[in-house]
Amino acid sequence: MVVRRRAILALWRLYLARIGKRHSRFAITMPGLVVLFGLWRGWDHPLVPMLGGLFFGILALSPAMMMMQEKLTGSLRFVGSLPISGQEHAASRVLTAATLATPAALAGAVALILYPVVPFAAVAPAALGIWALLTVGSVFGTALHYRYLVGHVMQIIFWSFSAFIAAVFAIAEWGPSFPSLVAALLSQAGLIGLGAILAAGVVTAAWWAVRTIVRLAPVYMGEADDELLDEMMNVERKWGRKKRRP
Amino acid sequence: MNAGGPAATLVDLRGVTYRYPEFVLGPLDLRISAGSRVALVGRNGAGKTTLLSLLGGYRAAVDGTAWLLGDVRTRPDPSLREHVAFVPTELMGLQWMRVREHFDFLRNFYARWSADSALGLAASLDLDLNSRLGSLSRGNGLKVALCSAWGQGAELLLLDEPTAGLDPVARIELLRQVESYMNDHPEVALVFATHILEDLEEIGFTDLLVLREGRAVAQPVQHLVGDRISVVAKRMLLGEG
Repeated sequence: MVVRRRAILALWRLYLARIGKRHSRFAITMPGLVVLFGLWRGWDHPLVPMLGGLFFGILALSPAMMMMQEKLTGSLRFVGSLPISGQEHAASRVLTAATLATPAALAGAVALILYPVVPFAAVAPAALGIWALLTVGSVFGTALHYRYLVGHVMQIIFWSFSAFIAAVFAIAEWGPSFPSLVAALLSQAGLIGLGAILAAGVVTAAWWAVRTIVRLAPVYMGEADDELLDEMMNVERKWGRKKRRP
Repeated sequence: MNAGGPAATLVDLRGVTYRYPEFVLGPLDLRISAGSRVALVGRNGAGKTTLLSLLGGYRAAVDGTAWLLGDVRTRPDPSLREHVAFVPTELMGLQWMRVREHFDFLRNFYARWSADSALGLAASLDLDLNSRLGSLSRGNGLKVALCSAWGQGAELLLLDEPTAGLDPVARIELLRQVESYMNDHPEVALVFATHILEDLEEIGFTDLLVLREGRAVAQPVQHLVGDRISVVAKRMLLGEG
């Protein structure tokens, strides 16, 4: 099967349009809040970059966050029924993720110039790193939904987030007790080693995510997810919530 | 791999089996030629949809040889869907899209897409192109699915219980459209799954395929001397024939 640019671009436009429709209110409100907060408390207040980062981070990860909605409304099954290869599915997902990670990378670059916590020469690599991390994170989240059932994905996210928070607290709590270890990690060799581990993790995650989408996207039928999703739809109907669009 | 089947043969299944944890479809032997009109009948859970999804490239046989449109298919093959139109029991599409946008969207994926065919059928079915897919009734959703299948210009049409839940007028209207399309496109083959036996009298089927507990019994219609196809199907379903 020939990889067709037209099909990839059509899916890319579809994903962007869907995210635009779903998050239009959020996309208008959140930057407005950041601007208002900046005007009120001053642009050098630490919450300004934090709120801005939150907005751009959510925007970048929205393709993965939309996946449950795609399952719920059957649009994932519809896209899976189209005559396109796994490579085309994966290319459109990567393109979408990369597009939506770009504002975060640009905002990150601006923030690093305005709040110079790293040398100026490191701004471009740092922005590139943000872009790559968010792109891979988004594609990885998308692949998780292809690979696992809704409930299982929620468990994975919950436990990963809990482990991350626990690790941060553990480092903050016990780090000062091991000054030689901290010094070793923060040395040039330590930072290079940490960077290499992180890069290897990102590459592995990207490889797994793309391979998963290539294999599973064209045959996604959603049968295993249907029972839970029906239940969720019933709960939504029961409580009178507005039916969501894909 | 090209198995070199006869030119007019679109489907040739030999000993094809598909397994679920609690159900086995097959082994099935089935041959469908260009121009055939196969009525596929069976109770709920008999394996009709599974068979259609095997023919449409959504699943792959676990055992046996599935020769579909020129190749032996050993794995689910999305490229097959370019030539096979599958009309499922419920319209697949994006609920927020309008009917016209849905057709425009599909154009990006089918090399032989014919907007004239899709829009022509939509006009003859009085379909409102500005309606959103999410707001369509089941009958209208089905009309959209049929228009999409017509627009695709497929060689093999798979209709999965298209008349289920339709009112009598909509049902007859739909069956006539299918009959008319098949008359206009004699090179296209049709597999029409239903458990409404009256449907069998409305389209000039060439073959009857009855699925019972995963096993198939095929019967060419010209051999049904003096019997109506629906009566024969009923007997076969009940295990009396």
